[in-house]
Amino acid sequence: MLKQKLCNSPVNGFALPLVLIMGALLLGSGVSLQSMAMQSRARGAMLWQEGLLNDGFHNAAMVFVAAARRGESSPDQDLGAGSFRLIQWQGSPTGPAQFSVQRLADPGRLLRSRSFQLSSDGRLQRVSP
Amino acid sequence: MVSGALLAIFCCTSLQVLGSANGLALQSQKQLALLAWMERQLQRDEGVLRSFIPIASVNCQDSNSLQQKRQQLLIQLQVAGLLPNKDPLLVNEQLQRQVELRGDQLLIGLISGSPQHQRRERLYSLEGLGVCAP
Repeated sequence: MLKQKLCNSPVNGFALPLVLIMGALLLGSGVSLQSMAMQSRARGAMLWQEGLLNDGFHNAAMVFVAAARRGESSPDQDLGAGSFRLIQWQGSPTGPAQFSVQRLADPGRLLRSRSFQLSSDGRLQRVSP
Repeated sequence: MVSGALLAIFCCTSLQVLGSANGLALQSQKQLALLAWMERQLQRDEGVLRSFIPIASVNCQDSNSLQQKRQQLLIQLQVAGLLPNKDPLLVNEQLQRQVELRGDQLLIGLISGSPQHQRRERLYSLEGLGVCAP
């Protein structure tokens, strides 16, 4: 009986720290994986926003080209990704020309601009990334 | 006894955290797959638009001619349909494509029902596609 108690006592003393270390490792790895997954999701959301912004610039540029070709003025375009303004047009309304489109600042959104090119055959192409 | 209880608590909590991390990772992978598919679809549709009307082939002063070309392009876009979806992450995804005339522009909209209602849309004017004769 005494021999059994003597044998068990060091084992009990050893088991608790082992469990605590193992538990901390398990939890740590779980939290680390979760943090990586959250970063990946945030990156996905950012790429999604970038895609919407590209659509906005593209759509606004299409409207501005059509208006220039008809000799009309180009009012600001309110689109899903924000409001867009034609800030500069250099060249002929029928091409070749280069122009810039700017997204107007909204609260929490950065001011961004993109350049486009209207080739001599009248095709719209994006210049800046 | 205490060690056993602690071990059980740690295991349960870790499983919950791992499950949540797995869900988040799956969701973000699905989102990226959806984004890639929409990008491919939009590029293909733009290719369809550019290939069906030769450059500088339309008199853009003539509104009837423009309207006729828009209708032709709309039909071509409808015929082209959706790209095949080979990504296993998007197998059960409800993907829709909307092609219509919005004012004097062609609208291509892509809509996905989940995980959130996500939508991308592109507008094309015939002038911007370079179809107007100089």
